[in-house]
Amino acid sequence: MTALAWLESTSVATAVGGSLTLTASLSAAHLLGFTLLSGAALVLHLRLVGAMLQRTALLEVSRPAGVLVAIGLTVSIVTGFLLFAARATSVGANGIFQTKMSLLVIAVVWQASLQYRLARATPLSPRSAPAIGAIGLLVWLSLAVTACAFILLE
Amino acid sequence: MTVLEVCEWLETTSLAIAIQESLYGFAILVGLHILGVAASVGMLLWVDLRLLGVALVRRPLREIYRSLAPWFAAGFAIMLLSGAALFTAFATAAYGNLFFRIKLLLLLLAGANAVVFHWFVERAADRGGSNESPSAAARFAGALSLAIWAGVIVMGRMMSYTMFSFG
Repeated sequence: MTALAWLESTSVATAVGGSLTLTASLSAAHLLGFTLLSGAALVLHLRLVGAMLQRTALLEVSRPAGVLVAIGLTVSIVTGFLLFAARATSVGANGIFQTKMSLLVIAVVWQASLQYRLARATPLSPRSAPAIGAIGLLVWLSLAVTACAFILLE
Repeated sequence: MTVLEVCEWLETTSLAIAIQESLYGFAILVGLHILGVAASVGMLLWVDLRLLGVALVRRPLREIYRSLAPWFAAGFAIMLLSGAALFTAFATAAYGNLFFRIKLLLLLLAGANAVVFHWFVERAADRGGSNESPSAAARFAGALSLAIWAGVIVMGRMMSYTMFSFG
């Protein structure tokens, strides 16, 4: 038995797979987590690009953004894992899902390194901040679009 | 003409038929709807956190609101347009869905809350206050907005699981 088949046979996975209410509730919580994450990533990166909150100190934006990203990610990953467990073998083989997970890893590494740099108050040069903001927006948008594609086109 | 008859008529319009028959039209519209919701509510959340006195407290509320508003308004426009198009294509199924009805009610509440909030923000700014701790009314408005939008998102997901055979 493969690891994914074992995961799918666990009692938690079968409970999720067998209940529409539980699946829908987990999906709703997954979207709530994604909303926290999206808002935080958008506000922080749009602030870096220079498109909003220009009078607010960067640290005043990056601190709550870091907290919101952490909460949103935790909720999304826990609920996403439970939804994944119920259909682990088929979803695990899905190319769009694999792309989504790869982009998630890239986005998390990107965000963690950015938050670390901003928390240490390392100054960003006026020229590099918009570029960092634009790259971050692209990374998160790619993940969001792939996540939607996975839900709808699998 | 009853509401149900209007829904049935909507499904016969050329827009509805185009969405129903398109291979990717439905998926693209749902994708835009979800992205619009996540982006707009996710950014509006920052105004709510400012109201609650949790984030961005060193700058005046009106400044935060005006800086964020064009962005979350654009997200709401995407959400409403894609949602209206989806409703046109599946109006009778949506009309009969309890979660859709609750979602519509919550959206009306959110709209009313936004109008009151807009009035409140502009008046509060005229009085000049910015850095003092938020009033009980401001905290209530922030908490109410958070609760309403969380409800809209949950109802939207429940609706899609009970209207269609997939999420």
